[in-house]
Amino acid sequence: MAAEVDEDATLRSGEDRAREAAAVVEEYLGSEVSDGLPVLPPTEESVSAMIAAMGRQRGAIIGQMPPGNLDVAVEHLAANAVLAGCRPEYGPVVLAAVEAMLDDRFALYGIACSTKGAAPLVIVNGPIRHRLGMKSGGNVFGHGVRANATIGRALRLIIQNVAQAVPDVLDRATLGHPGKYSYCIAENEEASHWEPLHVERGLAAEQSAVTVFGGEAPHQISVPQGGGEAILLAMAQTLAVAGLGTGPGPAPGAPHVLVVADEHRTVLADEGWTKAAVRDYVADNAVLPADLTRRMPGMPDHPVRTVASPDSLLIVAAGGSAGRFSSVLPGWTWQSQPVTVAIPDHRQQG
Amino acid sequence: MAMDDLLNPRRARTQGVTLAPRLESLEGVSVGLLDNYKTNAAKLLEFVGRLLQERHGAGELIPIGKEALSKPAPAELIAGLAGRSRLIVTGIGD
Repeated sequence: MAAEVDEDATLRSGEDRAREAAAVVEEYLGSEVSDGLPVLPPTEESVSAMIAAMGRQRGAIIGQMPPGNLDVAVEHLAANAVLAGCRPEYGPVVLAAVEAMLDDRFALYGIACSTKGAAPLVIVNGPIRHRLGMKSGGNVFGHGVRANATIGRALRLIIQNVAQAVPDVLDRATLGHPGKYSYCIAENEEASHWEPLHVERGLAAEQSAVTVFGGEAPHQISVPQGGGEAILLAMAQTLAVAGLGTGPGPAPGAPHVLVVADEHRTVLADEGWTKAAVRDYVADNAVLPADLTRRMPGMPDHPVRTVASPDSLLIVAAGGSAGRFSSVLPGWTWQSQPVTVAIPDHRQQG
Repeated sequence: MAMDDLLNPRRARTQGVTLAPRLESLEGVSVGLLDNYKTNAAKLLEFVGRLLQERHGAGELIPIGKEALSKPAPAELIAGLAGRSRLIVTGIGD
């Protein structure tokens, strides 16, 4: 006679495990290290696996992260990456993004604490996108896949817990934005006629890379008809108006990201728009008209050019294949510039 | 290291911050005013400086500004200001 399965016992066992797991998650939800969402409780085993994947020895000091300026060791980053739900193979991206944020040019202090409420956007390029199953097409800004969601979240937990930028304590963002939960995308290099972002910024196509950019939430543009100029004019004016009211005129040198989705890219490709031409057009047309500026306190009584240089515009190919939409991401201020860092492939070592 | 310390290194921090000794009097004391370049910061600091002079006999006011809002003042700027003043007033925020 076949052994009878005690279905009730199986159910009770499953219930018990869920109850125990939920209790641990509740404990973390009530702690200072949570971002308000359930986390994956780290263990010594999972943290060790993450450290190994990051390619560093336990105890290795990565730097001092503002605003707390404490010595940050790789295990601090690894523990928070696990907490965020990262798999070990995501570790090198998280570490590279932290190293990029520690570059003086990024000005992490301002990004982490400013009332303007920017968030670091992580843009991933190269082969690692496919290895990790990252999203670069539809719903690229959310929601969707574990890699995008947890890599972005790991950065936020690190900024909060390791860098000490606790909301409403040292992080004084007036409003914040949803990117402060997670803000990570991959570029759709294969579908684009343009050079990938990391190649433009000096790396080889076959290298994996991360670019960090401190910015606002995406401002979507919808241009359902017309040619390239219509698309770019919508981007330019959206960018300009995002800076209305900033004062005597938006400070020169603020970087901005233009995320161009498939249908818009097809139109631009068919008309022969290079990235350089796109930058020039957007910079030249991101102008606030005088009838707006004269009504804003502290702004001059003449048109104001809001993009100081075409070079301050980063262009990223991402987004789905259906829908004539793209996005403009205004940068925080001139004080923070994007930084690109290569992601080492530790799989080849040893 | 306990998991709590891995997640938040502040827990394991042992070194504290040493506060500068407090002055017993501001009479004749030169006062540095470190401006973070936020809107109206300079006006507020100037007002505070004048109050210190009027009410407490403070001496020379030395206004100086940081290079950027979001970055800490460079060490050499702090050192220079510390060398010229015995009291420094600054502020954070918008």
